[in-house]
Amino acid sequence: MPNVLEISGLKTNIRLRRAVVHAVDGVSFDIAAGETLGLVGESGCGKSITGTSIMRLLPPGGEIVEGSILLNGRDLVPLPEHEMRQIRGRDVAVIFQDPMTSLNPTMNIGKQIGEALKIHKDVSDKEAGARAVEVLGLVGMPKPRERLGDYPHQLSGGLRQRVMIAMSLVCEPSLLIADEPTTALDVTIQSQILDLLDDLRKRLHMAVLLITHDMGVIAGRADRVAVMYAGKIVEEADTATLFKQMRHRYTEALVEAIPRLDHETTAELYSIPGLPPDLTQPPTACRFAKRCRFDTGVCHNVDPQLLEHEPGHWYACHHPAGDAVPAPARGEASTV
Amino acid sequence: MTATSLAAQPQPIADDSAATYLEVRNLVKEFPVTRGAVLQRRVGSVHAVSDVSFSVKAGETFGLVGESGCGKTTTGRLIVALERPTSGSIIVDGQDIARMAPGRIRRKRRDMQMMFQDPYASLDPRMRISTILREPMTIQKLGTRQEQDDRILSLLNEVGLASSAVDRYPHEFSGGQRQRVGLARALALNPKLIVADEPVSALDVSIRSQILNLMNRLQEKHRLTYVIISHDLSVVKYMADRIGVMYLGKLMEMGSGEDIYSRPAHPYTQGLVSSIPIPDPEVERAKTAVAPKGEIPSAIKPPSGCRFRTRCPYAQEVCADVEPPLRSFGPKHLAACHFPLIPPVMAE
Repeated sequence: MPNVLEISGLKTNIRLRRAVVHAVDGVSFDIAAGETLGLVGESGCGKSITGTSIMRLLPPGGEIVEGSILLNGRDLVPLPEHEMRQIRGRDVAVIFQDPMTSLNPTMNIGKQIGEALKIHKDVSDKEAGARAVEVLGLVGMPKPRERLGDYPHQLSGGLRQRVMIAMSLVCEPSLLIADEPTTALDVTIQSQILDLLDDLRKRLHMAVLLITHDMGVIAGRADRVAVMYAGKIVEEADTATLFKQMRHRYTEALVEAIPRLDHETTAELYSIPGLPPDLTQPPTACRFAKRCRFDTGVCHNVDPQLLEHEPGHWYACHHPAGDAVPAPARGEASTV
Repeated sequence: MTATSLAAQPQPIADDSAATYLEVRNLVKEFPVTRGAVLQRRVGSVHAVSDVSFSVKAGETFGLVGESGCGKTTTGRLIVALERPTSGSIIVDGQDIARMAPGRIRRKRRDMQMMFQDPYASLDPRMRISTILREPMTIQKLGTRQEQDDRILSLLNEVGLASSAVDRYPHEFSGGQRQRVGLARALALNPKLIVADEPVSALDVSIRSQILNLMNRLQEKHRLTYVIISHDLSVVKYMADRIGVMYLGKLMEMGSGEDIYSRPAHPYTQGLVSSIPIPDPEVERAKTAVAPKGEIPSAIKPPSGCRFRTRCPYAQEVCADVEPPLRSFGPKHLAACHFPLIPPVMAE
């Protein structure tokens, strides 16, 4: 299948008054049409900045300093703003966490959905309205025709997120970026929205970048997973492999730190000590070494490279978990 | 923990043994809905908590779980007397705080403290940590200044913060450290009961387990009774001996973590359980039960009869007409449903 998105060596900095945050520090991945890539990590790991880099909607001071972002073969990084505007909404769309702050409170939802269509395609008000009804129906909005005149505050959180999804889909983009799309929603509504995204991805054959902190959401919805820590991808594999044979010690620790609903245990949860590193001065060696249970000298001196150690399974760890084959260029034996 | 020992001795419905520390009986809280800026005519009420009863033994952890608007937070605030109930009683250590005069409640608050969700919003940004931790002692007129200073240092030590924290301000701490301060403040008066409302929801996964482990250690050390309120059933199941599942102001089901997860009687519980994503693709993709459809109805006009009936796949006519009573489904396992998923246990 053709890759819709190919990112290589992406580096995004955020310039503050006295320092530069290396928010994304050499990230590469690709997503094929109809595929969902889960990008998982904790706050500040750079997962959202990766998403906004693709959209070129970086916060003030944000700047892509290296790398390329190919969308359907075309590099977005050097594009001038007016060309980027053509692409946003038409070829790539984004859904954010909080639908209340990303919808315009003064515009009814019919207009908001039709707006993107009128910007990108030469359609009349009537056609835009008809299409809005169509996509609202597609996202499972009850009685879509009667809802066009509603304002965002009249809708519940779940319905607002459906409106957001409808807006993002109206031009049938080839890539959808869903940045914590369900974090603000209740669990029963979350599963409805995730089902909807899954269904739409299959029907419209979209590539989906699912950004989340929730390993559970990833497990159920992603085809492949990339785990981010402190601005870098530390492990990437197809979802089944990642959860069954996780290699990176950060991935392992992250999963061990979550209480599992399906496990009966009262034993202490593993807790990762300390805090993520300061990305204004990122460590030169393994960025997780300071918080890792398995660190040795090499971890503090040599930056582990993200390599395909097993077919389709990439990780950057000097002491991988489980029965991993010894990685090349490693200083010492595994301490499992 | 106590969950297994409790399950071993079958006991029907309420447990009146001497060790009960908290008992909530027929608790009701309605908030007025008003119209008009000046006259504030009452046009209805939000039925936040409707006839909720449960009891918690000393040293036990009771979990309240449910979606937004189910009344779990209001129940928690009622327990620590931050809200007064419309009716019903809240018996803490033998005294009904629902009928207590405000002055006496203030004294009683020493025994029951609250830990809040958002460590960014619940600590005054202009206060140093020492002031934050001293405040409860000052309000309760406890100890000399020196004794308070000593207490502050021992509290910081207990929650795993350096004593140098006393002179710092909340913004100098990470979310996890702030939640430790919140826990220290809750512990300042040596309470017996702590109501923790979403104690880890605002925290990153790797920090959550630090706080949960700390809460468990402190409970053991001080024999604390916990009421943990969360939308996250995984957290509640890990922490609690018993769990109450709330929906639109009603307690739908109550039981041990295993009752709730492995043998739910109420279709809502089953729907809630199946909605929760589990970090294991095999488990996640093998799920058969479906999540409840539709939206949560308004608490101003809750559905008649069973409040879940509008989203329930098994609803029949009787569900709209008759409110199902709580029935027993095993030792300490109760649910309110006309068409439960497992057979009820007949009362002897």
